[in-house]
Amino acid sequence: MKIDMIDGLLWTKLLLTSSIYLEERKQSVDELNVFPVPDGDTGTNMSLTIASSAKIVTENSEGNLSDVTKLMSHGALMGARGNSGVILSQLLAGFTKSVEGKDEINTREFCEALSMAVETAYLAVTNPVEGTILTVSKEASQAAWDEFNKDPGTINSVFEAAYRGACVGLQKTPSMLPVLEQAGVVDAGGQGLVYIFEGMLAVLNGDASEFKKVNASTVSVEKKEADYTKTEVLTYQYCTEFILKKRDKILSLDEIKSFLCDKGDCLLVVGNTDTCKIHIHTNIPGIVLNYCTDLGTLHKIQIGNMSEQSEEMRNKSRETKHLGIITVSFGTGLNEVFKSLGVDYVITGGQTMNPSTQDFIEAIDQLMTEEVLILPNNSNIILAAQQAVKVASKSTKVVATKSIPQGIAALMAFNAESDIQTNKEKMEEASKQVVTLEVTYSVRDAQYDGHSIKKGQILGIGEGKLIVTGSQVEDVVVKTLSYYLQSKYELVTVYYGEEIKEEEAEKMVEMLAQRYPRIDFELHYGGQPLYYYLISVE
Amino acid sequence: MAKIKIATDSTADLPQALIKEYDIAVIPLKVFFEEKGYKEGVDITSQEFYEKLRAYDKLPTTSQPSPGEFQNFYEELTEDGSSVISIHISSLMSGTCQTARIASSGLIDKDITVIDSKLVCMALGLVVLAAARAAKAGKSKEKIIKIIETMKKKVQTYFVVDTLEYLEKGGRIGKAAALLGTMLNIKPILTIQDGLIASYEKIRGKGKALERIIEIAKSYSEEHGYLHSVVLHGDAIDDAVKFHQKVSSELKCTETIIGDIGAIVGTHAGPGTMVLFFYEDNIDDCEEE
Repeated sequence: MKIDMIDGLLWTKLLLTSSIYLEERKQSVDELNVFPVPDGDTGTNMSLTIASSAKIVTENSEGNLSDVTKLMSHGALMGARGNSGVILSQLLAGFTKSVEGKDEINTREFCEALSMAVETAYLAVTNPVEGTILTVSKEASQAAWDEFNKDPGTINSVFEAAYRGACVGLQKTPSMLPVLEQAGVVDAGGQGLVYIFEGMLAVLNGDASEFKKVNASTVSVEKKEADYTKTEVLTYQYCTEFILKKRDKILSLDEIKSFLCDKGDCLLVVGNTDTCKIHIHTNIPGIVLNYCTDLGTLHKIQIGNMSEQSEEMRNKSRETKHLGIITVSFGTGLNEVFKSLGVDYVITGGQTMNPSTQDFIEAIDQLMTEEVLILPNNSNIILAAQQAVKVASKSTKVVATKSIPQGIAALMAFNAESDIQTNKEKMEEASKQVVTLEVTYSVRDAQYDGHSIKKGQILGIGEGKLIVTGSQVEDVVVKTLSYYLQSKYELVTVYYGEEIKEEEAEKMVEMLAQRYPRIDFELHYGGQPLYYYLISVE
Repeated sequence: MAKIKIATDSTADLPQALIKEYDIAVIPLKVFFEEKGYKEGVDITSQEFYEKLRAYDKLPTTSQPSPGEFQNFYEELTEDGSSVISIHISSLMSGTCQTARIASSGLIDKDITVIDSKLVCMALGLVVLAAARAAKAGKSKEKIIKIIETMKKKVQTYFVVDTLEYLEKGGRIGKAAALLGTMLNIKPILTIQDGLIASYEKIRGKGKALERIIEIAKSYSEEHGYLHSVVLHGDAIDDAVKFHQKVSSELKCTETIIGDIGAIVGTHAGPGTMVLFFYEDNIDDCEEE
């Protein structure tokens, strides 16, 4: 079916079909949504925006193209949801403005309407961001014009070109917007627009009833880390942007565009007959400026070197972590807790296995950061850590934590944006806010703090001092805790060791929670040897 | 001189009584349970929202007003020739500001100033309130805008959420994203920084976090004198009353307000959220600078 003109009836069909088409695909668009706010509703929002247009058009009697688009635009303006919905409403408003008063439009007028749509959307947004629905709409419009200039043909061929342009634009979005590249997705709003074009094209090609379910334009939503370290070769180096106030109305925007289009890419010329904004990525900003000074006066000229921008981005990516943290811990569970709190390197060790100065030096050398904080988590290990600081090749400081709970409390006060000395002070202060309880057993007969202890007896230790002895683990835990649970404490975190079963620990904590209803209990697997329980009270 | 009207959006969470007293125009954002949308404060009260939230197994979504709704809103406000100063939720959290600008730029012959507060909730509300008081006192547009810019910097926000899940799923976690993935149950004290949510301090235990917030306000008060303070809560009235009593007894306040967090902010902060907003009483002196 070859079509030369678009009238009100055809546009109504295009609109309704694309509305249904997008509705069916909105979820896949939602999943792409990471910019500007990653709230996962772009597809739904765009779908509801165009549905609002479709609804108002169907509710009214048939009319010419001007009437239909006015209803469409009104519906979108009233029903627009989300950022992409608002931009879509602006695209439709621009299209409507361009066809105002026309019964139907031919191929050239269709291209003009697309241009107006793009310009209206760009002007509406305070800071247009490339790599979004805006880019996709611009590429679609550009491709439509290219096709028209080659061969005015039919609406079909120009529309097909616009759709292909939109797809190309969509594929470019991750390279323009780092947050998309980081997430490994194309822009959600751009994808929504591609679907709208796709739905419309299906009507023009007469295969609207059998939409392809699998889509070439969808990119998988596999998350990946952005790699700013690779050096990308930029085709065009200078981002050039300025406002041109034309001396007289000698040249139209299209004529300016056609002169500039082979000087670079990402070209944008928007505005009216007197004033326009020009944006281009080029290697020859001088020629662009020269050309435009012949046409009028230039204002707000900005030329940025984009290779510097990506250099900055790379440096930023390298610099994200300047302060590394080394800690001493034992037990797989505790190691995980430490890592989840931002520790970069865990040295295995503790009460019965004190790491050497050499262990610390090796760890310091392995870290990629310029500065290092060490949390020894045991009073017997602090000295070795301090020795390591003296010979370390990097600026290193010891946060004098004396127990695992102290180390965890210290990490709560860590702030990546503060300097190393401030962090050390804040962390040491925070570490003193917790009370450490340990429940273990005696490995031999001994005299300790005035108690005589038999081998195998269970020991309840609070802040390094022996509090109670007993023959039953649970009993010792309760007695040790009750010694410390005064009114000012409100949180008890229990880490159970490798010799304790999960159910056993859960049962005990349940019992404790009933006994002390005012206090919050938290249970974690510590996996530490020798110590049945490590408990922090704060 | 034309009358100046102060407008804002429903995320300011201003109590109805204040909206009425100072004649503040509020355009609602919308919260959606499935496809069913409710205009905040118009179709749904805070209480109804939290009831629905509890009964709903997914997270609701939210949306800014449409350009058309904004246009109608402004047309009505400017019909009598009034000027409008329209102050809104941080543009980094919502497109509301952008849509307001689109709508106002379509009304060329009307005097509408759109301001991005870079804030949300009662932090935005307090800025709006100061502007509305100044408008009521007959201050000029330039003066009111100056007051707004001063207030934007002065209002302090500290809050605790029960879980970061709502902020994360709604995409509004901002700079506090670094707190995700920690295995321990951390109650961070959050704040608003450069228009985004940010983590201020990591604390374990909600009671401790609330105590710490009062401490922060105390040391602010020592430096700046008496405070205006507001306690807002997300469906946690009992805790809020206790917290408010503590604020009133431990801080030197010239004014304290207690209220609840509405549907839009509630969707992104979740139930159990507790916020303290404050600013110094001598703010009027600053505007003379």
